[in-house]
Amino acid sequence: MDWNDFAGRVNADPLVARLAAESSFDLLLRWGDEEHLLRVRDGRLQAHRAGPFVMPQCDFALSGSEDAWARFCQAQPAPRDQDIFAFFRRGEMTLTGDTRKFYAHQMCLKLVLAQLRAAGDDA
Amino acid sequence: MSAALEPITGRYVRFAFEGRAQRVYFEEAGQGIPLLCLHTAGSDSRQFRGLMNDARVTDRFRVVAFDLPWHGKSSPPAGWQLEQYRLTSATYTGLILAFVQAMGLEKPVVMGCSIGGRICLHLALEHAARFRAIVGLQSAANTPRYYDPAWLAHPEVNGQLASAATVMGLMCPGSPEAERWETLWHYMQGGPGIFRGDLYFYQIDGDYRGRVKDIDTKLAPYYFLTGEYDYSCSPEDTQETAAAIAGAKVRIMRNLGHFPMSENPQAFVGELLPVLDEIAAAS
Repeated sequence: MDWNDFAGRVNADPLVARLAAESSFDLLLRWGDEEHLLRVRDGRLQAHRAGPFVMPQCDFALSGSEDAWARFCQAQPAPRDQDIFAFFRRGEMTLTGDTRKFYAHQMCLKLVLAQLRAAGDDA
Repeated sequence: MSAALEPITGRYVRFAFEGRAQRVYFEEAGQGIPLLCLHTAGSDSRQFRGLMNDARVTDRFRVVAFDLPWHGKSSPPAGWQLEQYRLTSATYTGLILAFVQAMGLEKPVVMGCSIGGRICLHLALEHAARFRAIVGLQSAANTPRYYDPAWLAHPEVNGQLASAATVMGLMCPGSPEAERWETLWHYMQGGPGIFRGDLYFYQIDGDYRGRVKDIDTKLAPYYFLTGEYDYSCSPEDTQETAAAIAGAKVRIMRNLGHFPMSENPQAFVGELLPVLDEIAAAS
């Protein structure tokens, strides 16, 4: 996965600006053995830090295997690989942490994750 | 700039159901065999706008779609502010039959999507002889719970955005952008707790596993049409249900998701026409 300019892509997305301008949350992505902390403030991806972390502080975490995330990030995902809920249903990804915050910021979260897909060709 | 009037007309019908006055909004277009359309959870009859604007359908079928009470432009029953909305098999079936009777629809084809596809199975089980044919879109006997819809009506969660976000990934990413976002707009307009109340039927009450084997397709043919991108009612879910029903016909639709008639109406009509041809030929 190429994380270069990930924040730039998120922050240039007019959908995020339109639908998620007031979203603020800290997300931990567990990507196989990798960890990534994303800090979103007022609809902008303020910081991305790659782990490993000791006791990372976050609102909620999404965890999946490297293979699951790679399939999710395909520029043109296969049927039923296009959304994290599909991976939840199959048990290939899990949500932990503050479920209320997950739902409150789900629109922003999905728009942010869509930018992982935009870079999926490089995965 | 020229204006174009669509062939769709919208009206209200009033009838009593379960001892309460109902004011139900419906839209229709076309003439011929009545084709009654049932929208998905948390949405409304606008999902069938493409079908009603397609002459390939409306030159032979009178397409009618109503907003369930509490949805779209239909009113909730008086006193709604004192009760929690929860859809059940009995209420949903009763409402459909009451609408058919109120509108004088004579042996219609019924076609429903998602919760509408689920209730199609219930109609096939208990009232098949009242219908000319049954078309279940994204239809299966059960969907395992993989998320908690209670949060969709939590006071600290924006239900408009959360409902749309919950369903946005159910569509095929390749469906036309304008149609996908129109589909989400409908979800953003739902009343508080209504999507959650529909999901009570979808996730808990409306579990027909073990019963669907009793569906008699000689009374009314049953057609399953399922979009391949749908992970809520997946092709495997549909095929498992259909395998238990003698005579059921299955069509898996490529490049479509959970809202075929709304996310990509043109592609969907292409999939539906052979089914409608078969129904028309048998009528």
